[in-house]
Amino acid sequence: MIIDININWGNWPFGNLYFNSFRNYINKIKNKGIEEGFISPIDGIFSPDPDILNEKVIKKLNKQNNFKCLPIINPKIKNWQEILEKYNKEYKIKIIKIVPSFHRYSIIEKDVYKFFEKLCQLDMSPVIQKRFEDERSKSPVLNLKDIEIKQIEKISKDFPELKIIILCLYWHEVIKLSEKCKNLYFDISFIECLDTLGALLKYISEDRVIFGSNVPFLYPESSILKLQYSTITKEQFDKISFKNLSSFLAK
Amino acid sequence: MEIIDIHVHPRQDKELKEVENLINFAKKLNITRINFLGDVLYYGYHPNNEQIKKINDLTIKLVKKYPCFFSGFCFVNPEHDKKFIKQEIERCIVKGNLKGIKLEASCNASDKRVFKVAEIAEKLNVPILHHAWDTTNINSRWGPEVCQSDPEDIAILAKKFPKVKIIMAHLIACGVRGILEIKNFDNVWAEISGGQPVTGIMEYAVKKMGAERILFGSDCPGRDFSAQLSKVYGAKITAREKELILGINAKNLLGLK
Repeated sequence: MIIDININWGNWPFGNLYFNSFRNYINKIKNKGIEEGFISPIDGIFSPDPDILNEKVIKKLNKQNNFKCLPIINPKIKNWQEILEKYNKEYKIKIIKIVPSFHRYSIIEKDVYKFFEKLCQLDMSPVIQKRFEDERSKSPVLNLKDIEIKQIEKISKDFPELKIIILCLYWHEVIKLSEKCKNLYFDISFIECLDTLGALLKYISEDRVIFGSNVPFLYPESSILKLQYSTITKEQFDKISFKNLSSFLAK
Repeated sequence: MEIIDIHVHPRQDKELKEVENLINFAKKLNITRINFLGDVLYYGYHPNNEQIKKINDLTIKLVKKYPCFFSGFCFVNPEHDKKFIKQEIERCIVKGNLKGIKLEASCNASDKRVFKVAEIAEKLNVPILHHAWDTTNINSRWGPEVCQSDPEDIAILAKKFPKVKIIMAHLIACGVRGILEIKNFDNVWAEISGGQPVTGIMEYAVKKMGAERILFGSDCPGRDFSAQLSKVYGAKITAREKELILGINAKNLLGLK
């Protein structure tokens, strides 16, 4: 069984992304072997109010038990608290994605700290999207400020009770953060070297590694094959593919 | 189905056991042959004559030890004098067991010094695999240390030497721009390593230039065979096109039995 924390859906103006019709998209993801997952609206990273796009995904997933919306919130807009409470109470959502590079803020700003405090109060967790694509190949018009690793370190230190998932980190970034920041969890979409997971688990506990594909930016087969062919035990496989995320959500 | 990985680097400082691990891991993913290009950055971007020889010695040694699983290319630095380059290519290819020439980032592909290497490749009828990257975002096209080649530089080389078979490395990183630069040159093949398994580029390449001039390459061990293979397995192209890209094209290009 595989649960994917890193699925995106919607329009991307800078390239010809994988499958587009929503129903086909879900079916094709399922056919690849991903049985459950969390889907965020790509358009939400461009919208001043991502709530409209989140609601669209929530509505589309209404009859899907296995795929849920991972809503995006911009803590720099006025209604973030109201939206957060709605997701928590009405939809029983426990994890919220933020895209600081696209929404143009730093995660250590005062307003954003209030957001993290509120998540703690509501017993929710943030999912921080570090990147969607390799910076070296992105469109030149996407002149975004990167999330600094030291800022992630600071958040981890200042909110030790907060369990944080970071998406799309490179190998060296995971190694750097994993030792100091024990409340961070990492998806596998951008981590890569020979025998990716076998090599990774020499540095970090398998309890903190989560399956993520970053589809449709990347082929889902990439994370699936890394998982299937890495030199790891059945127990490690199960933890990475679904148990860690299930435990994370059941906290 | 044969799977030939045309872009792998052996590690200069590793024991033979590491190579055996690499073979085992590749075989697990049904890879039937690996083409070594040398540990080309081990001594930096501008290796001297002796360093070049050491890099090629390792490739020759590995190909000799595992001839059914490894083939290799001779790495040269176009900054060196033509006499040495010619001697080294003769040692590795004519008298040795290597099958092509590898050029990295010591000179730009449109540099006249690269042309003298292409002249030798033309005489010997062997392919050149040249590093390439779309440098629009990385701003290191003409650095003092690194001398990147963009797809348009590969196109200049291909136009000047239409009889030389040129493999443009890192198709995914060369992107749409790269495909458009080389698509009309029948003497240019594109090798698909370079970055993450980004969707859409493989499909675009097959549509614009056909599957016959696309080759599978992983750039391991910095990358994972599995993630790099997903670029072909995941692409919305036909089964025949996948077969061509994964092995048949490389087999024909390298003259393998």
